[in-house]
Amino acid sequence: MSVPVIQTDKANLELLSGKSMLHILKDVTFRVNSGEVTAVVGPSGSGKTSLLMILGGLERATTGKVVVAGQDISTANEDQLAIFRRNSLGILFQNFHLIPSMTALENVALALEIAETGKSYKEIREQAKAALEEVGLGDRITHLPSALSGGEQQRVGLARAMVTSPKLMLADEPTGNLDQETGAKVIELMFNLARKKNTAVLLITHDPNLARKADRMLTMNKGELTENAKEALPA
Amino acid sequence: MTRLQNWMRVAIVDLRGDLRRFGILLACLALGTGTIAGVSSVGAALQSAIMRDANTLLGGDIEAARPDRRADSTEMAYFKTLGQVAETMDSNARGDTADGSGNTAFLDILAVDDNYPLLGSVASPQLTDGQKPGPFLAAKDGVYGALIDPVLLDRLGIDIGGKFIVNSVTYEARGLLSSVPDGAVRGFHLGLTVVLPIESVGENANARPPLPGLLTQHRYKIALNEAEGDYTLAMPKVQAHFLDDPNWKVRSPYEAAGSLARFYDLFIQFLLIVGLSSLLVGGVGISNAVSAYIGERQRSIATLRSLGATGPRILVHFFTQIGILSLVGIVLGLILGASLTAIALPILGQILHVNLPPSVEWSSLATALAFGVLAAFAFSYLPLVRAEKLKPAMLFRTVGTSVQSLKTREYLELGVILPLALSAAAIFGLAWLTTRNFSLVFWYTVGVIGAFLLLRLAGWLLQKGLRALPAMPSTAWRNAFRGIYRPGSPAPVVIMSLGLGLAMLLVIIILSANLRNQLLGEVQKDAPTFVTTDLFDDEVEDLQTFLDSTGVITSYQHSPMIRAAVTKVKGIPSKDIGKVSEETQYMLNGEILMTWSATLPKDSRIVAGQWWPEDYQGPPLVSLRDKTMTDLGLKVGDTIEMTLFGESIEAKIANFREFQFQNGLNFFVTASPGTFDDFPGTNLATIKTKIGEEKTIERALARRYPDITFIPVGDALNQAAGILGQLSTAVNIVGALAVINGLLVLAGTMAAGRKQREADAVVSKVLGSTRRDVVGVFALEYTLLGAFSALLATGVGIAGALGIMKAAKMDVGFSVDPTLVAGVMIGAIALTIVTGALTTWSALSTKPAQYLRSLG
Repeated sequence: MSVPVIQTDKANLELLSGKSMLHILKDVTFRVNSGEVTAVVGPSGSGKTSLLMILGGLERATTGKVVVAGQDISTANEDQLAIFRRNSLGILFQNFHLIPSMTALENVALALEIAETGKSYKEIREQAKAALEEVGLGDRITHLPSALSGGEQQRVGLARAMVTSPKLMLADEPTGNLDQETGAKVIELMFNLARKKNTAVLLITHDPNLARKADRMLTMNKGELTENAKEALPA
Repeated sequence: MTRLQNWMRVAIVDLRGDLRRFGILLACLALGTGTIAGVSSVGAALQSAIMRDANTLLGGDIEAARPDRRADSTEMAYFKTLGQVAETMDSNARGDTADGSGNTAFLDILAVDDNYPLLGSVASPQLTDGQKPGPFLAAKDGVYGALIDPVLLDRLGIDIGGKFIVNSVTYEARGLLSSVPDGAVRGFHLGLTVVLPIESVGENANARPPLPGLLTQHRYKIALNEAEGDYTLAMPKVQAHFLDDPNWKVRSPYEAAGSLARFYDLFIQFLLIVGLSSLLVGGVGISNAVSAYIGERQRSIATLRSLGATGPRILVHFFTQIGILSLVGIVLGLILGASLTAIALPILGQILHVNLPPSVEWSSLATALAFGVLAAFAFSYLPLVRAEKLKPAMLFRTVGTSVQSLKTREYLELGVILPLALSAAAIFGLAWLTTRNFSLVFWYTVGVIGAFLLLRLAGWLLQKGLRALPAMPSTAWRNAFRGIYRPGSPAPVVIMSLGLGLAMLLVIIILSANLRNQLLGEVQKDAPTFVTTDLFDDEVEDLQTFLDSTGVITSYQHSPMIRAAVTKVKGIPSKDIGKVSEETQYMLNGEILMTWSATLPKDSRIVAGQWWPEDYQGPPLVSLRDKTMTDLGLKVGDTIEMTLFGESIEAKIANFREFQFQNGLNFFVTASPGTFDDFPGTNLATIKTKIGEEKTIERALARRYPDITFIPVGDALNQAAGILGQLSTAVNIVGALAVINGLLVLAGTMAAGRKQREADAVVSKVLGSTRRDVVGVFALEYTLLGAFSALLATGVGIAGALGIMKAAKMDVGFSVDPTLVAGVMIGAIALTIVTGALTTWSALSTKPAQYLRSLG
């Protein structure tokens, strides 16, 4: 029986903008099971990134329940959320967000160090190196981000997100800053790694081709989330 | 490896990269700490040198002195029970050559006995090391010897072995005088110094002070027996012994530094204020640099947060980084401070005539280290807390480079307020401990908090005001205004840093200018070259004619004078009046010069009472120097009794006047016309020559008027002005160091906002603005901010300088030179624009595409 990694129940997000209250997410209720790859599509400003933020504990739902990896994060405090992220979550950003002063290896090792797995630094480095080899960057481990191409940076980001074998990976337009070919390669890598590690993936994208590769697809429109058949996407 | 070590190791790895980004932070810390180390080291070295040399300066463990007579045999016997005694006498007289050439010189006489000096040695090429001058100068074939200032050879036109006469006693110039060990505490003296055997001067019955202030002093320097302990034990005993005779003054080594100590105290107070200001200005720089660093790193912080780093980990991460950088900056500062001190001390020692060998004051370095660490912590803690509270959600949103401020309630959290309060208390405590001046540190702190709040409020009001203004027709003005009031604008920080930095610079500039004025004094302005007394009316006229004929006299003033004694004050005999200041004691001690006048004397100001009418013919009235009012508890309407030629006159006090003796012809006691009509008066005259003509005129006067003593006061005033001028140079040097530190802070403030300007420039360029447009708006924005900050800083700086002088009880006049202030302000605005423009240059050079791609 599949274990739900994401389980939300009537999650709402309201934010104050100037003097008026914006209702960003409206009664969002859905679940994602472990190992399942789910794409969320929708127009700009529909609330896709906000959904990702409340799932990552980066923003708190105003009302409703958000349970991720078995933990109710709608009531957790900042430090509990940080611990939740290090133990259960990997995030892949559109803009990579690597630490510019650290090498590829150190960027990946950083995730393990923050996770405080109890491993020695030598073991951490070996695990990070293995993660980089998995994404095909075994020969670039000592390079700083500034010396890597966009595709390579995103692969380092992927290795960093997956090195802790998280239960859930949140990917925010991960190919948005890459050309089509490189983007396709990164996505393929991501899906393979996720399946291998039984990691659920929630992918935010504008790209219909990318969304089609997911196991299921959700559409966000004006803060409301609905399940769609993948065939409904434009070619 | 512990968890904390692990966190710190990652922080160290994250320090890698372009080290230039830490330049401002390191420079602010190094200069701030270096200034504190240098200032505190120089101050400590000066103080310990004065105390170390004080005994030598005094010439004994204690000194008893009186102006009117030598110690009698009972008193001398008492001194001898305390320890070894050396007797000296200070006086003035004219010296004439014995060969009839007519050469003459005014002498500063130091008469010594065979025991002198008890400590240190008299320096002379003719004396062996440590040889006492007394026996060397003993009479040979009825002629006493003298050690003389080398200049005197030229003045008198004699060589070693040549003879000269003082008060009818003939002396042989037996050696040249380089220095005496207690020279510094002899205070203000006139003429060229000669050391004579005391038994020869004792034979002179005519010695009396030729001018007010030129007291003969009979000094008894005592090297205490071991049984007496040090001066702290002996002083009260000796003072008690002479309780009934106020003419005896007993001095400790510290008190002996008297006149020197006042100048040094002022200098050291100035150094302390500069130190505190450097600390504050450096602190503002540190705060800005740390804020800018955190601002630039906030995406990395958010990334760490998104990877699961907790708030404490973020705090430790950046605390480690700032800590390491701070330590590097502080160590650089300590090295800088120690090196500068080692170089500066011998130079300063030479300037101040105090033995200051190159040394490192470890306690001062420790103080600077503690100050540096505390300042770095206190000023970087808030930016670090802001980093800790940064939310990772920003990774998904477009943000500027400024870090969100804390909410009011967050400032009040114990974790925020407690470390800040503790570090502030520690800085306050350390400042208090270092300066030993609670009042100064307290009021300084109050002033800084006041200035901080004022500048904060002013920044807020400016933003509100500009926002409320109707839209300006000019696009550049509109954008410049918007740049100031938009959310996230650096304007409040710029106003705060620039305002505080400029205010501190102004405080230092105003204080150093006032201190310089005090040190150089007004003395030089109208100081005469010669003063002469006891001139008869026909001599006054003759002198006028003679001086006119020389063509090199710039001023000749004269005033009637008479010698009289103040024998009673408010009916109390002067000899029964207890301890008063040295100056008032002189007035009560015996005959002094008095005058009379129908009109208020020049260069004086009435502080109480009124001047008598010009045609006043009533009972005797007197005008007294204002100091006597407080010293003797006098008021207008009280009486004094004056005695002259064996008769007494009672006079009512009509007013009190403030004046400086050096500035003109002013006397302690000025009587109403008619008071001294029944007695024969003479005249006092002052002569001022053209520069370079002093010696010619001195010789001409000596030849023409062999019976009149012309005292060359100009020499002594120039000598004093020279020493004070050199001290003032030291003030300038230290002030300049502080100003450089301040400028660095300004540069730091401008540089700290560079990232935001880069973002603004890119957006403007994308929207089609030319470089000229962008520069125009930035220049306008920073001119407005610079001018606004400068205006506020002027008020804060002037009020601060005045407040500090009051709090530090710096007894110097206060004035503000508007030209200087205007110059500084215009300079500061120009500097703001130039520094702003320089740091904006890289922003303008940024290619929009490159910048937009790098956003992430």
